[in-house]
Formats: sequence, structure tokens, C-alpha cells
Amino acid sequence: MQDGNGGGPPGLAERILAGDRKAEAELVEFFGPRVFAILCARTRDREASRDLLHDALIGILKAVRQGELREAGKLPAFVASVARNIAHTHLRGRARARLSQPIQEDDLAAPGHGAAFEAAERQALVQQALLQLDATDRAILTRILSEGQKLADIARSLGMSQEAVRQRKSRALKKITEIVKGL
Amino acid sequence: MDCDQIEEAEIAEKYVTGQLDETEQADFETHFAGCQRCFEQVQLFEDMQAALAPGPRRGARWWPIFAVAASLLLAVGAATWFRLRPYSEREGGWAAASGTYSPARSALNPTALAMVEPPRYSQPHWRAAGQTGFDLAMQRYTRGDYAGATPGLLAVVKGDRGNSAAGFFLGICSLMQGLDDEAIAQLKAVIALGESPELEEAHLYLAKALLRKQDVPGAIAELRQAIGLHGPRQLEERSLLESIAKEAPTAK
Repeated sequence: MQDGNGGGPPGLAERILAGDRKAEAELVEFFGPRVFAILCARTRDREASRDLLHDALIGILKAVRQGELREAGKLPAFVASVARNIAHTHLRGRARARLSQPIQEDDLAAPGHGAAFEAAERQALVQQALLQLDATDRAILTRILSEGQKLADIARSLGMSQEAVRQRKSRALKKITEIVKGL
Repeated sequence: MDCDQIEEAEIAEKYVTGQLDETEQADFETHFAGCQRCFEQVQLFEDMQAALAPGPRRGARWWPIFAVAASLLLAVGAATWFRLRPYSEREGGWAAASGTYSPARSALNPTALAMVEPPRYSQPHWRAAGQTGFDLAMQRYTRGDYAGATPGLLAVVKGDRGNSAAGFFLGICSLMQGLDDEAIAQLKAVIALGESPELEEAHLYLAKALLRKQDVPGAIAELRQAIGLHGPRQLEERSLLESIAKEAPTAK
């Protein structure tokens, strides 16, 4: 799988290493939601992920500041690996990953307060889009995404062919995407 | 694998639903950490997953999100609002003011609509599992032993009429045993208590109990009450209301 072609704002790691505080804020803004997505997928717990996000971002910033990132172009891979480690530590039931050398959290760029509202707003838009789906399509998405059911099982219980369920799912996802982007 | 291939292979969906192996998962994380297009897909799937997940039994932390949702619903405007409420005024559906219903003209299948999936119960995070009468009854409830849970819940309710949780689950136990009249009385008692963590679901399950009794206007009224609370089961409530409208589109 190719690495993401964006990689975040250009020269981010170098600028952070040079002491550019604005670059730290950019890192948090760009990678914060990605780290949160990884934590959610790994822990299956959005509430815990919100708490873990802070630890992950502090760990990432500290490492980049101290020049622990050997190749600046590998920043996305590094961010993803830190998020994974934090999630694994959480799942193993250990104490949260703590920094070996505590740093003043106030000294780091904190995630913007707007981020939480933005996430809630986005979720509300998704909620709004889901409400516009046909009840059967919504039920199919619920079973796939929330209950982890297989298409074959859903098809059987709804008395449809598997292909019909797959098509309904694809159409529903397309519609959701269009609605969310359009709202 | 490039972004088109990732989309074609539905990798984001598989990632969010835990269908990738560890290596695939890590590879995809590295990819979307730097890829806006694939990240947006992941984010959309995670948001849908969160929106479609059953509401937490005791979690008050979701309410800010639904409060924002409510604000946005208002902001979207009248056009959308009218599209979201086809049950009352559209195409000769349910009469909003009177809630009247003509069974003779209805093709309603209340049995299908009133199918009851019992609400899940989880121990509140702030309280360890104990050996109180309520705890013991709920242990039976979680095993699906509704008849076994009933005496314990009944005892709790008799001792403390303000215990909305015990009253609510007692109503559910009655519903699961087909004791619709008892369920209706119990759920109405919970609603009469006013604001409680069980209020929204009490309206929802009361609607289902009323559907079983063919009281469609009553069920609609309860569903509207539930929807008005903008709680975590809003989607299900709207969906049920929508289904009632579809089942009996000409009923007045």
C-alpha cells in the first residue's frame, strides 16, 4: 500500500525541530483527527480514545521536537505507529503510556477547542444524513457497521439476495457521502 | 495499492469494522495518516458507526453531540424539516392534531412493527456490581430470564416507586413475556416520574406495547414524545414512525 501522498503540511518536522511553535499547532490540527481515528478503530471506544488522544499527541510532539524522527518524510508512519502503541498499551490494561521525561504540557501546542465542536458537528451531519435514508438501507448499515454482521447473514434475515444487499449498501454509502459533503 | 484500489476493495469499511489483519491494518493506518481522501473515508465510517451504535444505557456524555445535532436540525430549515416528518400531514397520513386512526382502512401489521428487542443493560461505570435486589434481578435480565427478573424488580419498585430504572426494566420484562397491559401500566408509571435516564426509552417501548394492542394513535403519540427528547435512539424512533406511515398510508 502506498504511503499517503499528502504527508501533512510541508516541512513540518523540520520546522518543529527548529522551534517553530506554529508548526506544532499545525501538526496537532492535521494529525489529531487521524490519531483519533486510529485510536477509535483500535480500542473500539470513542470515549477512551478522546482521553488517549492527548497522550498520543504529546508523545508525537515530544519525539519530533527531540529529533527522534529520522526521516521527515516518514512523519505519517511515525504518527500512526505512536497511535497504535498508545492503543495497544491501553488495551493491555497497563497504565497509560507516560513520558519517561515529563514535560510541561502547557509548553506544547494544545489541540484547538474548536476540534471537539467540529467533530460533534460532523457527527450531527452524519446523523442528519442517516435520517434521510430509507429504513431498510439504514438497517443494513447498522448491521454492517455497528453489529459487524456479514452481508450473507443480513441478506438471509431480510429475505434478499446478497447482491441486492451489497447494492443497497453501496447506494446508501454513496448517498450519505453526497449528503454530508453537500450539507 | 493506490487510493482508487483502496476504495474499490472497501478497505476503509473493513478497517473500521475490524476485518483487516494486523499488517493490513498498520499499512492502511500509515497510508491514511498522510492521505486526505482515505482519511475522510475512515472518518465517515467511524462517524456512521458511532451514530448507528445503540445508545449507552447510562451515558450522559453523548448528550452534547445530540444537542449539537438538534441545533443543526433546526438550522437546516423548514424544507428539510418537512421532509423528515412525512407521517402527519403528508399524503393523508396520520392527523397530527387528532391522531385519529381508522383500522378498517389500515394495512398495518402491528406484530412486525412492535417487534421488541430488549434494551441492553450494563452496570453503570461508577458503581461496582453488587448483590442488591436490583443487581440480582438485572443479572437474570441480562441472561434473558425475564420471568425470573420480575419478582426482584417488582420488590424494588414497591420499596421505591421513584426508582425509574427498576420500573423501566420491570416494564420491559412484562413486554418480553407478552404481558402487554402490565408493560403499558409500568412504562406509563416511569414516564410519570418525569425526567430520568429511562424517559426516552420508556416512550419508545410504550409505543411498541401500544402497537401490540392496536393502539396506533397512542403509539404515534409516544414515538413523537420520544423523538422530541432527541435521545440516542432517535433514528430508531423515526424509522418506526416512518414504518407505521408506510404500513398504513391512507389511515386518518
